[in-house]
This record gives sequence, C-alpha cells and structure tokens, in this order.
Amino acid sequence: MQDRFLELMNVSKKFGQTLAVDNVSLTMPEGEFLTLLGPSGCGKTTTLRMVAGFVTPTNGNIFIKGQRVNDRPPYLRNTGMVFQNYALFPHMTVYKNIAYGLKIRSHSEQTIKEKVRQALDLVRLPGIEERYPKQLSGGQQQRVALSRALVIEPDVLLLDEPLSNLDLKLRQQMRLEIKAIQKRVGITTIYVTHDQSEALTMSDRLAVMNNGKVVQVGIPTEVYEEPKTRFVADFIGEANLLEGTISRSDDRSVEVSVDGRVLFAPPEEKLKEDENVRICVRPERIQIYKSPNSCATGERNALRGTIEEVVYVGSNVRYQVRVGKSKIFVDKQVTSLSTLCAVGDEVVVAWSDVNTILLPAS
Amino acid sequence: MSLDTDESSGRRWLALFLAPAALVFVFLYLGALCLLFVQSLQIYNPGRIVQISGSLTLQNYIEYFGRTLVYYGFLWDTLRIGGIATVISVLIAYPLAYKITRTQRRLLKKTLLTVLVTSFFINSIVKVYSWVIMLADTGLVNGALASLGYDRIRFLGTDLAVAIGLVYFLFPIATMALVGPINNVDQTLEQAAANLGAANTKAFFDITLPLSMPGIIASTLLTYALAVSSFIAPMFLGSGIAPMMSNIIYLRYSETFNYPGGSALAVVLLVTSLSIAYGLNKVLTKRLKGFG
Repeated sequence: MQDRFLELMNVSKKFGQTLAVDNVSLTMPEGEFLTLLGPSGCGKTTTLRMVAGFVTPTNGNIFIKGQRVNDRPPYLRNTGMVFQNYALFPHMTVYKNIAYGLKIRSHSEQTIKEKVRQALDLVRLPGIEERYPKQLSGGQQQRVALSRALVIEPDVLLLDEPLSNLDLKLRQQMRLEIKAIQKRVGITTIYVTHDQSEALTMSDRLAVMNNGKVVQVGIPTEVYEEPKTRFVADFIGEANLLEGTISRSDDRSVEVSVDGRVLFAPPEEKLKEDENVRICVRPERIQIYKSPNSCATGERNALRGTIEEVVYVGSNVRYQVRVGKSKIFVDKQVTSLSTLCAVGDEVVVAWSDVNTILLPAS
Repeated sequence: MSLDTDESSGRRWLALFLAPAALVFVFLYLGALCLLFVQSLQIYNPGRIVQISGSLTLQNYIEYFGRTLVYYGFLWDTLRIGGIATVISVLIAYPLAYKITRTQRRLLKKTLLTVLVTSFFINSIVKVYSWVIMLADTGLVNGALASLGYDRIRFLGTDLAVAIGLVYFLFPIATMALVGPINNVDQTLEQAAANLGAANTKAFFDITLPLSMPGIIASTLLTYALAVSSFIAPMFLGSGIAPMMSNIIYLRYSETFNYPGGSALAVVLLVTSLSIAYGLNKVLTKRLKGFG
C-alpha cells in the first residue's frame, strides 16, 4: 500500500483564455476509488485526460507511483481508460480488442489467450471472443471496454462517464458491478461523472468540482451531510435554501432569524451574531404534520405553511410547501395513500437542529 | 407542406424529391450513353456525320481491336498512366487530408482547405499551360538544369509529363474525397490505442488506416475514373506523342468525323475502366469484411 499512489499537485490547464482546470491538488492512496463529480464544463474530464496524458497541464505536476509523468506520452503511462463512448475498435473482434494492449506488451500467444479469457470472466461475458463490438448491446460493450482497460494491469483505472449511455436500470446494475470489480482487483480508480447518485454509491471519496476548482473532497456521507458551500449542497442531493441572519450563537446552538422566524442549528464556534448565513435543509429530513402539536420533541424548527403542489412518484411523494415568502420542498415515503396531504392543506413542516446545515451567505 | 407521416405519403415525397435527379439521369446520361452505343454499331460513311440506321455492325470494333494491336497499346497506356497518376494522387492526398482533419490549428486547416478549393476554380487550360511552361524544352525546369550544368531533359510528349499533369489535376479531388471519411474515424479510437500502449504510428496503422479504407477505395475509384478519361493533360503535356484514349476518340470525332469509330473506342474505354473499377472495389472491399 502506498499513501501517495497518485498525486496531482497544483495542476492547471488553460485552453486559450479559459482556465479549464484551476489549481487542482489531489492525493490518492493505492486502491482508492475517487470520483470527480461536477456539472458539465467543470473541468473533471480535462483532469482525467491529464492523468491519461491526452492533455498536457499548463501548470503543476502529476505523479504516478511517485514518478512525475507530465512529459510521458499516453502510451507510456500504463493507465487503463474506459471512454464515454467505449471506443472499442469496430474492425476488431472482442478478442482482438482485449488482446490489443497485451500484444503490444509482447506476451506470448498462450498467455494472451488465457488473460483475455480471465478478463471476460471478470466482467461475466465468457465466450464472446469472436463477436464484433457492433453485435453487442450497450451494456456488453461497456464491460468489454472495462475488461480491455483492466487486462493490461494498469497502475490506474480511469473511467470517463462510462455509464451515461446506458438506460437507468442497467446503469444502476453496472454501478454495483464496476464497484465490485474494482474492489476485487484492488485498482486505484478515478471515476468521472455528473451523476451525484453514482458518485455517492460508488466512491470511497469524492471530489466535487466547479469552474475548474475542487470545491470539496470527502467521503460520501461527509459531502452529503456537511456541504461546505451552497454549490455543493445544491449539486449533491437536493436542498432547501433559506437566507437569514444569526441572532444568537452559543455553545448549545446557533439561532438564525429567517423572515422574522427563528430557526435552530447545531453550535458552530466561528459564527458571530448579525452575520448573514444561508440555511440548508434536505427535503427528506423534514417532517410534515397536520397540526403543530404532533411535532416530535427536538423538532424545534417548525414552520406553518400551505401545500401548493403534490408530486406523486410511486414510492415517494414530494410536497411543495409555501412558508411565507419561501417555498420548501419535503420528500416523504408513501406508506399509504390515505395519509397523503392534498393541495391547499394547512400543515407544519418541522425538523431537528442537526438537520439544519449552515452555509456561508455568498 | 403535408405533415402526413404514413408510409405511402412518405414514399410520395421521396419520389418527388428523386424525380429531378432521375429525369436528368435517364435522359441526359443513360439516354446519351445508349445513343453512343447505337452509334458505335453503325457503318462509317466518310462525309456523313450522324446517321443512324437499323442495320447494326461490329465492324468498328473489329477494325480497331480485331485486326491490329495498336489500339490495345493505347488502351494499356491509358490505364497504366491513369493508374500511376491515381496511386500517386491518393498517396499525396491521404497525409494531406489526414492533416486537415486532425490538426488543432484552425488557421492551418482553413488555409489548406482554401488552397485546395481555390485550385478547383482555376481553369484547366491555365493549369495545364503552367505545367507546359515548367516542363517545356526551354522551360523553368530545364532552365534550372542547364544553369546547374546538367543536360536538358525532354519532358513534353513523355508519359512522365502526362502523369505529372494528371496528379496536379487530381490530388485536390482525391484529398476532398478523403477528408470526410477520415473525419468520420472517431479520434477517441486512436486515443484508446495510445492508452493501451500503442505509439502514434502503430495506432495509425492499426486503427485509423484500416477504418478509413472505405474512403480510400472511394477516393481511388473517383480519381481513377477521372484519370483514364482525362483529355487536357495528355493533349497538351503529351503533345500528341503520348496520347491517351480520350485524345484518340477526339481525333476520330473532330478530324475524320468518324462518329461510329469514335463511339466504339469510347464504349471500349468505358467498359474496360468500369470493369477495372468493379474488380478493384470487389478486391478491396473483401478485405474490409466485418467492419462497420
């Protein structure tokens, strides 16, 4: 195990006048699954391509196993990449596709045969050696691409939105499968995606990117529960955002005044009175009651409102509740149809202190 | 416009769109070709130009290809020079087209394309005379050779001069025919090859070249068709000493007014080059089995 297996140090990339990647630093231990998550154009793919060697950094250094690889061409980097469109060679059979990297590494015909067989077993596609890529389904192509990347035993596995061309069911299944394969092989992996649920389910750690910068790095629960900025709160999961001013801050709680009402958050030392803050509450952490008396103890944040919209999606229901000037979204599991609220119902939305996240105002 | 989406109405629209092309093709192209064929089966009456009668004869074919080997020689020269010019043109065109499609530099791409397209606007006579000036006995090339103390070389009237002229005419066309197909080869495939350890040249020969083969075939066939039917380059640079079939056909029509004879030669040239194109296509396409 190496703690600094892959390292990006102050890496930047400029395309003309635009700064696509802005001073990114990341350190990955051996075997880690790291996701670069962000909206399109945030620089995540460029970062990945710099590791693969297809893009040269304008500034900064990239180290793989302690060696600086900035000046190494892609074909000498020993990274295994799975492209968004899979990039299988259409004029070669599955066998030739997977064997391609092995042939370059001058393995014997016997070894190649064995390794290709193992690689196809790994992705649970035995016996399709003689087929051409276009004869395979999207999911199968995806797996062939994965086994082609893994068979060369690369130092790092690079995945560039590999699931974005698959339908939802298959995508969810492939998430688990890719993660399981990655764990079994124990390979250091960078995964690029704009899909937050993919990032949350697969990653050991995730790095949220915006405008070329890494804005937050952490394990999935940390990034979801303790977003550091409005952007992260909004991008990962969904967020009710309310602006307010701190009216009291002591070692038991922080009180924030929002539209004349007081909301409570867990204590935070560095926050001072009269400071402007933004409050974030996840829709699924909010309870909804028909009367204020039913609030559970500890649910100190209680607001009266009117239901404006009910969106039923089978297992869940989303309420849009009008509270004063703001709208609050509440997600609830549907346990029975009779307990659903209707548009126009007067309700109370409530949540406990720990579910109030304080973010900087700007 | 109707927004009907049912099949029969869709077909009607398709037929309507195809009609102009079909009309032009049937009357102006196939019709003329049939006339040419019928003409080639007529008896040559010196002094009379167009004369179509019901009695058909193979006399013209026998005269040129049954009694003497001279015309086989002309035909062979035509196919040979055309073939050499085609191969050279495509060999020049491929790297150029590759550069145009793959370069990251916008300005270079634009410049190359502009130069290529501009060359289509220059009149063929002007183009061919520029090569006459270059290659004449007292032309630029010989002038340079002489001033360096070498013997003058006779270019005009040689196969070489004709081939040079043809290449000059054809490589821009061959290039334009290759730009699209090379552009269609997904660049991430080359990157995938590089990622698996293939250096640039290996990635090119393993991936890009085989995948652009359909384009190479199309470009080669197009260039070859234009090469064997070319008229201006052999006329001016061959100076009548190294004639190609078109020039001989021209002579039959314009100097002896032997329309049936000229037509017969034209039919033979057409059939021969079509068979070669067909054969070439068959052989090359066979090697592409299994690709997209």
